[in-house]
Amino acid sequence: MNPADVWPVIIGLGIASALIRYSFLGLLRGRKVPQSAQRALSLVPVAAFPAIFAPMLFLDGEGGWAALSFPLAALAALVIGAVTRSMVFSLIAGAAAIAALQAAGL
Amino acid sequence: MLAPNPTQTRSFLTGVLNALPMQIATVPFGVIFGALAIEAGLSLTETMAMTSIVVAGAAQLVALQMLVDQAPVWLIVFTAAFVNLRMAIYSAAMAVYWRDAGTWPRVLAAWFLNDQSYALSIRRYADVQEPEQNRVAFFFGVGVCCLTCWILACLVGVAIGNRIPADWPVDFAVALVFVALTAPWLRNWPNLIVAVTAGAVSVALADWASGAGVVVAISLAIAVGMLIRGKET
Repeated sequence: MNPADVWPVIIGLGIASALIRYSFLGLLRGRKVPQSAQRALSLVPVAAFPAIFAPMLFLDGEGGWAALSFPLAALAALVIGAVTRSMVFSLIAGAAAIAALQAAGL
Repeated sequence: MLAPNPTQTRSFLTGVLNALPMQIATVPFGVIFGALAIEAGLSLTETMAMTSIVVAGAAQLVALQMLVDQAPVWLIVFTAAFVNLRMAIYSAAMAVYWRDAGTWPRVLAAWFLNDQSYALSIRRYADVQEPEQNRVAFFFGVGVCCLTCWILACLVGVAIGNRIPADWPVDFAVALVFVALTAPWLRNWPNLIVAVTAGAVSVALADWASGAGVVVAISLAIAVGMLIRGKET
């Protein structure tokens, strides 16, 4: 990490996040979001989070595939989280699965 | 701006109480962020500043990860802000109910609006008929509770920070947070397809310089989702 980058990121991301939150309450006060834009924005989490976690699960960061334990434990977390609709249970399932898998030597 | 009448105070406190049980979900993320930030080499001040200014766990973790990967600053801000774009919908949904609110509540909302304050407020607004000033007070009750717990949780994480045992799979913990954030959404085919597309494209483009592939993967997956939706309706 480059320490000089930290504050610019904090300030830049802080401003960007505040502007996004302020958008329709302030800057675009009273404007309606078009249906299609609403649909696209509602897809952001479902698209963004897997795009972020998939490489962490499947790749070892050095051009190879990661060990099997990461995707397997993540699968457990995904299934439990989807069934229970709970982030907390998903976290618990994932943590328990990785502990069990690593204890099993995978 | 604030000369709260008793019913407003009550609405505010109702908001706080409504938000409290939800903190079971935020506290673990706050602790994880605090611990990882310290592990990654952020100072106490930097960690707490990011948590208090950005107030968005997922975006903070993305930014942290990309800082570690030494991505350029503009791309870090862009990608992490992309993750926060969903809050534009929250902003629009709140604006429908906040018709007479003054400038200050609106500006403060730019700090207090998050997944929980949005979700709880919108549900309350639909269920309970009350004056707008009470609705605004309820929102800030939720918001203050969330922010306080978020900052405290992060502090706990900072305290734990360097004491994480070396053999713990910290990399997996980061991924797991995002998995847990995604899982509750994956209850229908369109969302599942969008998620798989995003993940697959992101893995395929992982060689691209410093995370640019992630933004492409997100955009492509959203486009796929729009196409599926277009066929449905």
